This record gives sequence, C-alpha cells and structure tokens, in this order.
Amino acid sequence: MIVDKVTEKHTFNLLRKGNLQALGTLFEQYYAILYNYGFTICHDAEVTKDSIQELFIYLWEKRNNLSEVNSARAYLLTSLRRIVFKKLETRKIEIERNSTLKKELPDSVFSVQDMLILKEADEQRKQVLKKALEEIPERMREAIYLKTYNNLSYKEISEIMDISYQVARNYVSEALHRLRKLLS
Amino acid sequence: MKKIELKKERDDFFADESFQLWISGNADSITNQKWEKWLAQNPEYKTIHDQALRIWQAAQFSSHSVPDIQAEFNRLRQTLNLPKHSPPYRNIITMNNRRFRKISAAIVSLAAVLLIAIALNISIPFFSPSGQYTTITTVFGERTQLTLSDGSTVILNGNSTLKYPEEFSPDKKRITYLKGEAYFDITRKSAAFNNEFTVTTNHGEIEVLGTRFTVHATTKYTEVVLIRGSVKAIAKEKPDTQNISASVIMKQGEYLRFDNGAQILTPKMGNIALKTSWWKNKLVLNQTSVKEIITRLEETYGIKVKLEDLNLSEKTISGSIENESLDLIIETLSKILRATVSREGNEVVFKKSII
Repeated sequence: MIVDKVTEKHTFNLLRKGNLQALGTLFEQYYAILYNYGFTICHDAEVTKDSIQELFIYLWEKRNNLSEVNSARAYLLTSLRRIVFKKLETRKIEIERNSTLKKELPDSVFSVQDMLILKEADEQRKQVLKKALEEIPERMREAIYLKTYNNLSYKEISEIMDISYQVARNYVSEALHRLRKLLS
Repeated sequence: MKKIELKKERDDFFADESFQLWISGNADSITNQKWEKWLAQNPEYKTIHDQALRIWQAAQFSSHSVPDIQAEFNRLRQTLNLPKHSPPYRNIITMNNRRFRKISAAIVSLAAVLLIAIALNISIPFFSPSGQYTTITTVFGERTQLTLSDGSTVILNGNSTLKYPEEFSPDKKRITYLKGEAYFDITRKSAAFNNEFTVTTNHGEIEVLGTRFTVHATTKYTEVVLIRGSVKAIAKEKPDTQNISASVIMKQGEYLRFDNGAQILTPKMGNIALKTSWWKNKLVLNQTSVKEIITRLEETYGIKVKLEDLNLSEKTISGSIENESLDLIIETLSKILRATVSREGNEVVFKKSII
C-alpha cells in the first residue's frame, strides 16, 4: 500500500506528540514492509519479529526525543536495519562461542532466492537473469531492493544504507547496467 | 522540469529517478505525460524503454509471509503496558482539513486547487471538506468495521480508504468519501439526522436514504449494489468538478456501474451473490464465474492470479466458500476446480491437474 508522504509525516508527528493511535497506525501500515526488509536481511522470522518489536518499543519510549522526518518509511527501514544487524552481531558472537551451532548462520544477505523473476516467460532468459543477479554484489542487491521494491529515492537509500547519495546512485545504476548488458 | 538531452548516455536514463518512476508505474500524471511524449518523439529509444521495463520487473523481490500483525501488536501492547483503547488501534488518522480550506479560500476555482496539489505532489482527492475528518485505510486483505457517529455501520474491504466526519452535524449533509470497497448500513433519516447521507467517489456520489448497499470505487469506475432501501446514484462529468452528467434512483436488488461523464445510467438486476457476501463468513456464489472470483481476490488481497488452463476462467461455481483467509479460499478453489495451485509470494498459479 502506498501511503502518501504528507499522511506519513502527519502520522509520525502525531506519534512524537504521544498519540497512541498513531503508534498503532504506523505499526499496521508498515509491518509488512518492515518484515519483508528485515527478513531479507537475516532470513530469520524470530529475529525479524523481535527486531520490529524493539523498534516500536524504542519509538514509543523515545517519542518525545524523535525529530521530524521527511520520510517515515526511510526512517523506519533505517532503524530496523540497525537493530537487525545488531542482533545478528550478538548472535554471531554467541555462535562463535558455541562452535557446534556455526552452521546456522545465514551465508548471504539478499540471496537470490529472495528474488522472484516475474513475467519472464522465456526459461533461458530467466536463467540468464538469475545468474546476473547472483553475480551482483550484496550491497548492490540491497540497493536495488530498496529502489524497486520500496520505491525509495537515492537520497533515502543513502540514509538507510549509510552511504553517500552518489554511491547509492552508482549501486543502482551499476546493477541496472549489468542486468541490461546480460539481457541484450 | 528537466530538459531531456538526446545525447544522453543510454545508461543515464536507467539511473534517472524520474524515468524509474515512470517505468515502475509510480509517477504522477505530469511525469507520465512528459516521458510518453518523449518516447513518442524519439521512437529509437523504444528498445531501451522495453529493456528497462523488463529489467525493472525482473528485479522484483518476493514477499515473505508476514506474521499475524494483530498478534504482534498485542505483544507490543503488553510489553509497553498500553491500555486497551477505544476506538481500537486501527488505521485512524485525524486530518484537520483547515489547511485545505485555507487554500480553497485563497483561490477561487477548484481547478486551481488541483493544480497546486499536483505541483506540490500531495495527493488529495478533489474532496476537501472543512472540519475534523477521520480517515481509515485498510491494507490488502484487511477488513474493518466502523460505527459512525450517527449510528451507521460501515464495513471496509481490503486496500480501501474511507474519509468521514468524526461527528456528524445534525444540520448538515452527512458526506463521506470512498476509494475502494465498502458495505454501508445507514441509519434512516431521523429527527436527529435530517439530511442525506452521501458516499462520494471519484466518479460521482451515491445519495442515501436509510438503507443497505455496497459501493466499489476503483480507479476506472464506481459500482453500487443496493441491498435494501433506496439510493440515488449521481455521475459527475469529471473527478474535480461538481457538474453532473447523469443520475438515477435505484431499486432494491439492483446494481449499477458508472464512471465520469456517463450519459445514461441503467441499473441492472443480476447476480450479486459474491458482491454482497465479501464481508460475511462465507462467500456466496451463484453461478459465479471463476473470472469474477479471481478479479475480486486480486483486488482485495493484492495478489496476481494466473490460470494456466484458460478454460478455467469461464467455469462457474455455485455454493459457498469459507471466507476466513486468502489461503483457505485458494485451497477451496483448487479443490472445486480440480486444479493444482502453486504460490510464490504474491503470484498464484492454477494448473489443471491431469486426472
């Protein structure tokens, strides 16, 4: 569901003022988006659910200190990302201590399994695309995900991934360029 | 607006955000026009356009099955020790429309307001009432029931928006705005509420006088099904004017579909079983075509359904299906149609099973 930016901003401001309904609204409107993003990062339902809980607990408890945002969506995704990575780090340390569990760590973020190649009827072309996506580095895949799945701007992607605007643009441009090359 | 240089590097188009918005179908009408014009004037770029479209679609990601949002919210509520709130935590945003009123007061014509809205990239529908309005929006697959301050009941289907006044004024018309689909059970005109209840959509209005009906407002048309009572359907010339192109009074059991500029409105009697059971525990089908069922599932749940055997779409089904969840509906359909079903994210494919 696309929520327009004005409504987004308005709801977020209501939250900052302590409006409980706004908390509920944000939760319901963004849960699916947050879950999908979080899951694609860690491939773990429990970690993702817990991270979203942590995010909203933070939002409510620190509501008075939250600053105004231009894009509530970008802010929520950025915050979630931070929380998920932190949880993965903690887990990694725990797992390294307990070496028998090492196999459980997911190998890559944004694996190609997450990428559904729609509307590509031609089986051969489908395979070419799949291979192309596999060869794109993870960070680039993440950028493409944020752009095509969430329709975020380069500015927003740069905020979420903590990179410069130019790097965000380059990631997406490079990824698209590679795909284009392999398709033609 | 940026001037498009013909000498641009081929790849620059792909990375250009305005171009991406157009390709992905998320651009506003001005951007769409600009690019369509460009493509028409530069047909040599058609291959690039097609490539971009294919790549954009290819780079889509599958969505994972999301856990029960209500359950997760209850979990949050418990952790934070939040009180049970009335009205419940739903998508309720109270928008004070005084800001819009200021704009329309400062500028005379509605057309000017619309222009400003587009330029600022704020999507307000032409509907800009004054006073305190509440907006409720559902996500795909969500259904929610509301009680309005006059005692009327509304059940909102998935991916829909209803705007209504927090408090109905007894001396004013009860005006609401709908995008999507809803079932209305409106309190009759009483001593307290003397004026008509109106549901406004982009295509026109439905004026109500104590009745039960559904309204389904898509981008292309508005459809009304009158279950009980009486309504007057009014078609408008354009979304942003008040000029009426046609109107008709409907009778119980009739349904009507209209869009902007309709010259004649002819309500029909017909098969409304599915159209009037989507909010109930069981979907009622009465020689309902598979095509109609699928279109409804796509609109309500945001999925894309593919029938590998085209004969399936012409088949009709009579009976009832449990309406509890999308998964249950799909499972039941696959049994009835004797078709295997596969699901990948938002795409559902029915294949005729070889018996």
